[in-house]
Amino acid sequence: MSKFWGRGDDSEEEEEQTEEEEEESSSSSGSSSGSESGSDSDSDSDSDSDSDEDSDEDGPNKFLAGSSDSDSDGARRVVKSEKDKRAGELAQTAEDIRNKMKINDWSSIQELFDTLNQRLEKMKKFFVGSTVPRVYLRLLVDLEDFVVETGANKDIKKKMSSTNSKAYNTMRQRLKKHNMVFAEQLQKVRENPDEESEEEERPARGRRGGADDSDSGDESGDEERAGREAGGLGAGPKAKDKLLTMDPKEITYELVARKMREIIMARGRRGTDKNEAVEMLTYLVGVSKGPAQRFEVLAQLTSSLFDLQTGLTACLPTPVWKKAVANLFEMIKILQDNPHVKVDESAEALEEKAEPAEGAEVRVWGNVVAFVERLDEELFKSLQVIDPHTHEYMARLRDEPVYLALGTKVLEYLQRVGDQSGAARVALRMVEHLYYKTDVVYDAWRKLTMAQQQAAAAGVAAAAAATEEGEEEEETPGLGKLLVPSDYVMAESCHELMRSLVGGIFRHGDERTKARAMLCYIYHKAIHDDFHGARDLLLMSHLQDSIQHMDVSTMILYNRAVAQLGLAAFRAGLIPEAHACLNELYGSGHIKELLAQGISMGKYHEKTPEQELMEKKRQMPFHMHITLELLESAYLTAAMLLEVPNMAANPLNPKKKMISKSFHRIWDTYARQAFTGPPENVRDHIMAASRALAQGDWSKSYEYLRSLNAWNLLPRKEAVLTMLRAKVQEEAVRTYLLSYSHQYASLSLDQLAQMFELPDKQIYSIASKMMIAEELAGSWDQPTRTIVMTAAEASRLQRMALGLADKASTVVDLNERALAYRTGGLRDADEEGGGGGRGRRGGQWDDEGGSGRARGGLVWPAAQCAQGKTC
Amino acid sequence: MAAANSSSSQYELSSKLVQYLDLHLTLPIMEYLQERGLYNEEDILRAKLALLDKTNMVDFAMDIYKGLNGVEEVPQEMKERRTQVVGRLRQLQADVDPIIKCLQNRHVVEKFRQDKSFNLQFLQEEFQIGAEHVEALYQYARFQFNCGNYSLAAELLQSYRTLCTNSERNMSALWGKLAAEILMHEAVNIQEAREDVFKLKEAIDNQTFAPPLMQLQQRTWLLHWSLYVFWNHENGRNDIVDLFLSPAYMSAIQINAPHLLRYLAVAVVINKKKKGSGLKDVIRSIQQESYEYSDPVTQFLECVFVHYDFDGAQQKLKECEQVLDNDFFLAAYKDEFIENARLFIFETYCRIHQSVSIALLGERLGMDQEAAEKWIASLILNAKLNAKIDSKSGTVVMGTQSQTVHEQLIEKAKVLSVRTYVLANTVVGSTKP
Repeated sequence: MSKFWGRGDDSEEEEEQTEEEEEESSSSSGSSSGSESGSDSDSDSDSDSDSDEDSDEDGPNKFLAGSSDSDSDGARRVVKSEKDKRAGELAQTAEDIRNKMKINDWSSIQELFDTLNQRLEKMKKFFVGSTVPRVYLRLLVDLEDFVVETGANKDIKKKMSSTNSKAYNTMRQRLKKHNMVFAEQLQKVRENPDEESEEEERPARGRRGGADDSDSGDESGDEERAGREAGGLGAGPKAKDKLLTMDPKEITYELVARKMREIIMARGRRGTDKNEAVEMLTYLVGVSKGPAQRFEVLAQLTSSLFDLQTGLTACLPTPVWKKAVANLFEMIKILQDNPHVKVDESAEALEEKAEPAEGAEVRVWGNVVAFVERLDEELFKSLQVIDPHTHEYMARLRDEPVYLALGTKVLEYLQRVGDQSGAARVALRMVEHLYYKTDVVYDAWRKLTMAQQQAAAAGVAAAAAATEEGEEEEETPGLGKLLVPSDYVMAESCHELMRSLVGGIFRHGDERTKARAMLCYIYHKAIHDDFHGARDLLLMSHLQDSIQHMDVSTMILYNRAVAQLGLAAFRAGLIPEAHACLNELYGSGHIKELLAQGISMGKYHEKTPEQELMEKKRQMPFHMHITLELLESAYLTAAMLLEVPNMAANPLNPKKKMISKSFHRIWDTYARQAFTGPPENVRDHIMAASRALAQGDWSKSYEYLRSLNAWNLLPRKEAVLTMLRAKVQEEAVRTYLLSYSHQYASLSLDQLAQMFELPDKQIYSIASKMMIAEELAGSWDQPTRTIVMTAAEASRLQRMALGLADKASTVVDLNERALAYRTGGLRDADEEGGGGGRGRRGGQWDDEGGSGRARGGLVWPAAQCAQGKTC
Repeated sequence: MAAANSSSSQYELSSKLVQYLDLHLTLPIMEYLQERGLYNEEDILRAKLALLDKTNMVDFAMDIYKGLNGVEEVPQEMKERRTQVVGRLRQLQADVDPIIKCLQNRHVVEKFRQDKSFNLQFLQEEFQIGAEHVEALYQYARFQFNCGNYSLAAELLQSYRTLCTNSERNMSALWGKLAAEILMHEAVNIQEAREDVFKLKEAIDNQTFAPPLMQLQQRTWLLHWSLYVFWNHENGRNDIVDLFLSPAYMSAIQINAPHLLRYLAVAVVINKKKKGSGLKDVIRSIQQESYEYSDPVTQFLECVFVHYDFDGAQQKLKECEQVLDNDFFLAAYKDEFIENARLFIFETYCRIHQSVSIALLGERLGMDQEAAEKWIASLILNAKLNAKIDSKSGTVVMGTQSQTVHEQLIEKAKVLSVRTYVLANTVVGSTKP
């Protein structure tokens, strides 16, 4: 926005300068006088009306003026007498000044001028959005003339006393400054000095919205600025009238260009009617000459459309969004058809340009990338706001393919012109629409697109008859412009599309873009069951080290990617990996915030409204959510499968080697319950399953797990359940052997196989593993197919003695370390232990084949979104 | 590479290996493949020809062409190429003549010092030999290498290295020298090549400013090239384990060349001196990479040490035989590998059993009962196995290995006292002087 301000200022001052030169023959350096600045503010509306008169169209002008006059009169009937009084005072002061002018008393003139301005100020409150009285303007004209006259007459100047000449100089400068504001009005007065009769009561055309004026007081800074800019605002409607009534053939390039400049200048000004500007620009599109201008008008129209949105939180209304998309399509089409038109953000939109010759290279203002990004943000916001359970949400989601089509076109264009960083940005936006889509969703999407295209093709024929303008709220399939363009072919496979987009981003994007694209790609791979690929990408990119320094939205994306990675591992039956991924997300207890899927009420700290607002802005739209119930089921199941045998292995001190803290917490709460009813939620189910598993009752445990609803959400439910069954059986064997082996002198393989319904070979393998790991004190007796237990249960005293020995060795360990620390010679082994060899090779995501894959620790920190303060 | 004509070539790695090898280094592999007859002979010849086209070994290429097409005449372009090559050789020889002469002079070389710039200056002053001659020397050496004249190339490169100041050039000279030494196939050279491998390793590791990707690439090359050296060197199996298991190279294997795990696995299995050293690391990486690479050798290790599936292991061992036969590097080590693998199976088996029937054991180890009994008896005799044969029931009974709590305690306390003693000594020792 500020750029428009800046630009508006420059060019306008130029314009004013020229007008001033006409009026003034002497030029003097201006210095600012502060006192009147307040009064300047409202007068800009007057200058508008006058500028209109400049263009010689009194008819409609007067008519309009009259109409708004009657409005304001009606509203202020009560105070009319006082208004008259004030007007009288003003006239009186003006008369006084004239008298003083005659005797050339500049110091008095100066004083009286101040009084005059004060009076004017007082008067002003009676005219809400009114013009300056004609009397005042005439006085200004006279004063100006007088100043010029005095300046020209050397004799008079010489005769003046020092105070007087000083006052003269001050006055001259002040007047110059002061009159600049009224320049156009003054010009008008000069031209029609006789219009006095209706002068007094002539109010200006209203500013729109009287409410604006009420808070004008505290915005004087803005107004001052606004005051200096003339032209533009409100000019729209009138000019539109003219242009609209004109035969389109008569409208010239210059006319359109001028109109557009006016609208641009008015942008962002208080009281500018955005809707009118949009309407006007829409009309201008139709009459614009040549592709370059058409593009310019479209670019302006699009940014005006974006202006329609009010406030930070509100989203752009859907119809407006669609219109903007349609505009962009057209813009891209222009760019494609006319290679000589070059887009350049630094090109001067307000520059006076001659109509370019056909085919000559033209630089026009516009930033397609920014528009595309903005559109994406608006789509995102509107999806955040709309209730996901309504039809509206569904309808809105249908706009996604359109957006993607747009993205593809823009991307093609950018690649053609070689704007690679822009292309990377656009590609990222597209990637962010694609990455969370499973194949099923993507296929549905494609079908929708094709259906739309067919409908559009059919609609073209129908549309010939019905020529309705498409601005309705509903998305009727007949409206061709809201649909995916027919020449857009959606890529066959989501994966291929992702890969090509992401590849482009890795080559040309900046750090953040690359990181986000990488995370999206990881997410995408994870939901497509490529756990290893996704994990390698994550480890190679070293994102887990740098994520803490990224922005919150990227952190959320990271958390989402890690969560999906966990689910992918779970589906693949890689229980420890799944647990490692999900543990941190769950351990924090803020899963909702971490994934930006709702706000959970913190028990211990209240959030300020701003924090809540920030958090709301971060929320993911509903269709992108990761099902929390599934996530919880997967996490707790993984924790159970790891933790139950672990607890059985350390019966005395279950917390010694805790794998999952949150599992233990829930387990303890569950164990403390006086009565345990039938399981209701996910936790209850898992706890019941865990208890069964701890007793070695695998079938019961599996039944509990199977009854969880969340599994229905998995695409390959049966496969996952089979995997779960096998895992439960296996862990049940382990738990059983750990817990009850002491009670046996020997265990028969066949019996175990029967108990756990597992093949002999697997039982054999499991038990062998435990023997090697020294978890099971026994060995196979091959001829009899039994496990013979060797070690007897250690007595309490023995166990304690062993514990003591362990602790003593810990002490020695620490002592050794302390000594090493002192002498400076830490052994290599100690250092190795911490690093685990990961991150040794510092490759970034240079390319997909990448380097520096670090392995080892599968522990990924969840990125904690800073809750509040830091954002 | 031509399509495989039998399923046994499924685990044949040469197509993967050649990506990381010098053109010349692939020739021996191709010849071996030709011998084995795994692929269509004509295809191999064609591949060879394509390969030689890029080198200067024109005569060799002509021979192959004749053999392949069964004609006596070779196409015109080949002849032209030959004249080109010869012409270039002449020219290079002329360029390089002064410096060679100079280097052949024993007295000159004796005056060389460690400082390379000094050497250059010395040559400049004494014989007017400047940088362009040194450069010509490099080009000439390269050309000779390309012509297949490896021993000369190695010699020239050796001299070049004493004069070259550019570290990058030095590096490529070193690579060239290594390749030349490898291709000379002589025991003396292998020893030298081994040293060069370590020199290169050092050079790569010390490249602090090289981009990681390039470093990774070079490590992968080195890993591949070192196969030639280590598998032909008597101490090579140790070196392989050491080199491949060092962290930087391990990650290079994991990223770029998981197929090298086969060589690592074999090296670990047949490593007699340091029995089982690094076994755990190898198995961990095999498991990690199992989704990317798996062949009978790695599967065998997985069967024995992860799944304790001894029938499976037996099966895999049979497959291993064939795989090793077809492998250019490992064919010579097949028997050793099988023997050691068997021992591994047996050891592991004994660790988790207290009594095993000899018949079954023989079956597992691929021997008949009598041979198995003999084999076990000799193991017991050599005190490698704490067990007894119960010949009446035909079983082997293992000695108990489990410790009682009492023993465990004593063991721990012993360790403790030793460590404390050492600690105390260091503390006292460090404060006294």
